[in-house]
Amino acid sequence: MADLTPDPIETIIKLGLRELLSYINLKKLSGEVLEYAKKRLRELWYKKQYGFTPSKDEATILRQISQTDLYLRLKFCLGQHWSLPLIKVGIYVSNLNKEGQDKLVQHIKDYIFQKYGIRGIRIMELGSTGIIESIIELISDLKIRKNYTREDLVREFENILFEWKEITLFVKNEHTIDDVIITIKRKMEMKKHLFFVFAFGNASKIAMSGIAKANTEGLFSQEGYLFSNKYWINKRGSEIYSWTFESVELF
Amino acid sequence: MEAEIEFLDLSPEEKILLLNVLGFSVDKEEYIYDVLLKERHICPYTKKEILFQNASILPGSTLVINTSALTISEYITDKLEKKY
Repeated sequence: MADLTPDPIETIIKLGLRELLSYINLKKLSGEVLEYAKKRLRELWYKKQYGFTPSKDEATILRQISQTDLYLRLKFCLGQHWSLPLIKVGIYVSNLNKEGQDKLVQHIKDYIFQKYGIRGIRIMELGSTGIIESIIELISDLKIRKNYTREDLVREFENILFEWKEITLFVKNEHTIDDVIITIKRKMEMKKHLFFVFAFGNASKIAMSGIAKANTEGLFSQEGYLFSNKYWINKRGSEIYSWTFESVELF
Repeated sequence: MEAEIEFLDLSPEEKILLLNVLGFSVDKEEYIYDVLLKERHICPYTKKEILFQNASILPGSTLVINTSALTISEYITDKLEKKY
């Protein structure tokens, strides 16, 4: 009577990587057949782009972020920049809720600081507020509008990170309209060629009123600044208003 | 066109088998062990030893890394993205 048991080698050849792993464990292969199966596993591993990770969802999302227009635009502007891994995590963080953001940032904070210093932490802050997307848009806009070279764009981006505290105003509920105007005026007097005003929720009314008043009084044209504004809702559900001020020399 | 990638859902036994095929094992204290170098494997990003439960091998590589959002992101930048 003919032996109808399938030849294990023939079976191994037909299996994909996932099935082969199960087959080896299920059949308790040993000896030469096991060695052949391992060789085949190696071949399959090298052939296709497989991976395993305890954070499959996180890895999938980060991979998707690396293929988004927003990220690719920044990468096109900056080239192989040290910040790219952080930018992806920053965009990822911006899409988490507050609890998720706090947990993730806490988990990797020490590693970020040790490897990337304060600039790395800053990118995470930009990510958790959702502001990172505005910065990416600004950089890619500068390339088109000013025809900046990659070196110019890298310098601009690093300046933003380096000077972040000096070139930003986060308007709070306790601020007055005059506080907003005085702080903006100070930044213009310091000849910052680029600065940002941000306001969350109710504080946006104060920021808006201050900027409108300064504009009506001709402060920006007098000092040689143009501004653009943007509004969005981040994943924490907060409304964010941002104003980007640029010296006309930058246009 | 970018390479197709797939993250596998594997049982601990299957992970160990795969690690073994790629030249690693898991030592008594559950750390990833480099069979060829005869020492604990060090994550190329965190420069630290890797616990089995926190180990990843990402597409396009045979290196084991410590898993966090940042190390995965660093890996994607290094290995999967086009170099402009």
